[in-house]
Amino acid sequence: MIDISRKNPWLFWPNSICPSFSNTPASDTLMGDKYYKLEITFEYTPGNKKDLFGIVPNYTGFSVVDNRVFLGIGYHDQDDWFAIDYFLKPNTKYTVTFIHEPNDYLEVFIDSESIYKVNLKERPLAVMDNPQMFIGAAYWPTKDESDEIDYRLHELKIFNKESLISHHTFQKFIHSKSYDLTDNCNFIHKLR
Amino acid sequence: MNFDYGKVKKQLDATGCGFCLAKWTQVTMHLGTGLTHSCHHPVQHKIPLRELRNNPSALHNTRYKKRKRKEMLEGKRPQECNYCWNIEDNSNSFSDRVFKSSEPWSLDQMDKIKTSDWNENYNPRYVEVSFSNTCNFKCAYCGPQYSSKWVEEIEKHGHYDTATRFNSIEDIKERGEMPYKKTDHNPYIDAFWEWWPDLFKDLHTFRITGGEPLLSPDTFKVLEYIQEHWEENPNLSLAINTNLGVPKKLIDRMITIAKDLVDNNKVREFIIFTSVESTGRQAEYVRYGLDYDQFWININNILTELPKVTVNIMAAFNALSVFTYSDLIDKVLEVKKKYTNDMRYWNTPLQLDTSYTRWPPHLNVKILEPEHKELILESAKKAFYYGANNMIDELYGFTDVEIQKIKRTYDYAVGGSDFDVEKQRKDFVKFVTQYDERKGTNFKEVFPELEELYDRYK
Repeated sequence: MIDISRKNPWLFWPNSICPSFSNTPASDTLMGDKYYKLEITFEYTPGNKKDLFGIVPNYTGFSVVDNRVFLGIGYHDQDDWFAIDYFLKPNTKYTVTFIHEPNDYLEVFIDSESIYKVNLKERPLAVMDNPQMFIGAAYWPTKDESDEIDYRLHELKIFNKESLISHHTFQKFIHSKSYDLTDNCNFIHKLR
Repeated sequence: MNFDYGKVKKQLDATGCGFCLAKWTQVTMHLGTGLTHSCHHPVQHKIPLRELRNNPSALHNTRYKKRKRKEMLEGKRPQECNYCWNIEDNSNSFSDRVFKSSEPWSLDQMDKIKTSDWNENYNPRYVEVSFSNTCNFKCAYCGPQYSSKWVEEIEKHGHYDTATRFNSIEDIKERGEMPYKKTDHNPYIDAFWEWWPDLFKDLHTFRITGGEPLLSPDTFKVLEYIQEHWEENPNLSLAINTNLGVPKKLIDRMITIAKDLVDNNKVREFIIFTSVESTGRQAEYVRYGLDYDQFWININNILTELPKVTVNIMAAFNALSVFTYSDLIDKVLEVKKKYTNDMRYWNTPLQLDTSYTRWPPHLNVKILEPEHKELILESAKKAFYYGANNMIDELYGFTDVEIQKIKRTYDYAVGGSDFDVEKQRKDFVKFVTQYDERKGTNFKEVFPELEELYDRYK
């Protein structure tokens, strides 16, 4: 488990040599034109706005505002923002799952309950050459943001169509990087 | 913005499809053997002593090389540069002809060179010199051309009983590569000193190799010359190889000179190249003569005394490196962390430059079992995790190049080729058996991981 503040989010190692270590770099899987299943187990601390993750530059992400779930969807033409009629509680453990079937749908689950399904047949996600996934923030943090803990992150998994390609339980760290249990070197590091 | 190699190629091709500036601007001179070449692809050739009588720059400007330059200026491709022609004719990649000519210290000479007479003498900008083969080590992958200790052993016991006749002095003599003995008069050294005052002022990079350079009086003579005459060339990039296994007084002497050169801005940069590719007893077995603990004491001393100097470990990754390379990576990271500062030309105080050994073939990583080759990948992954993280100001990690060169070694180890594994494993066992007999070492005790392979091929 790691405690994350908005000021110090984590992100996938955005490194050009990842492909030489893995046929399935996690960042590439999130480009927008590939299948992925993203599972994050977390709890958030009390407060009015919490950003669990954000995939940029075309924003797809998950936030909690006044305990209500908000989703960002980075369509090919523009980013949209959806308030979902689903409420969470602070200091409670949840697993959020995003399943992306390219040009078909994006479905979001809390634990095993489907809370939203977006039709992508007419309006697919944007395809990004070099996506970055912030964890614990929606975008690049600024130094004047608070150091207070926003999230407790327990586990993160990314699957492609074939297999689990990145798995973090945040128990082992090497040189400030979270160890990827799949041994694919899809590691996550603290931004600052 | 990326460098435009395509533009350089067009410029070169305008003079000739075989035109390469390295033939003029670069040289490696093995003064102990009287051999020279401009780049490492063409085979080194003998410098005729008669040419040196009136022209000491024939250490670089041999008649042989001038004829190759003539071919280049006349639009021909010298046969000896086949390595590059092969790449250019069979791929869309740029050959080393383009990369070497693109070096800033080479490229700015293009106009002068392309209008020059092929017969003119030319002072190179990049010079590597080996004064002699005097060395107190006899590393398992080295030989008499580069180590006087190897000469002693082979003269006493003969060559190794491998299919390659490993380190046969007869073969080396037949190829004209046998070095002068330390006690013999060496006319190539005389020629160097005659040429040096004129050569020095035009140099961009000067690198002293060996043998063990710190055991050669010429090394200190040349360093002291630079101390005294630095104003003639204050932007010199100076590099020296050393095994860091010589007596302390010699290392201290090098440090004292380097301190003067660096602290008083008498050179643009000073880099120390050394070698190790495993740890502890395994390192001492392969680099015979090495005191592993003292090696790191010396590195620590250098980086403490010379906070602007970078040390580069040239790791000759071989079959005996796999079991402790991961530990070496840990050690390198520890030193990087300890000595990183913002005073250096390069970011890191210590670089680990991994290259795989192809010669001798019996020490090639391809002889290893698959599970042992996987240890190379584990090392590469460790280095990858240890990557420098610019975003959190932890700049002391491994660079992309350092990481990729370890990964490349793994790719080479598992890649397909016509390498004869069975034959080389047999030679490997013959080699280490004789190595133990001659040196009093104990392979199976130092490398228990290879005991099974050893017994199988014994």
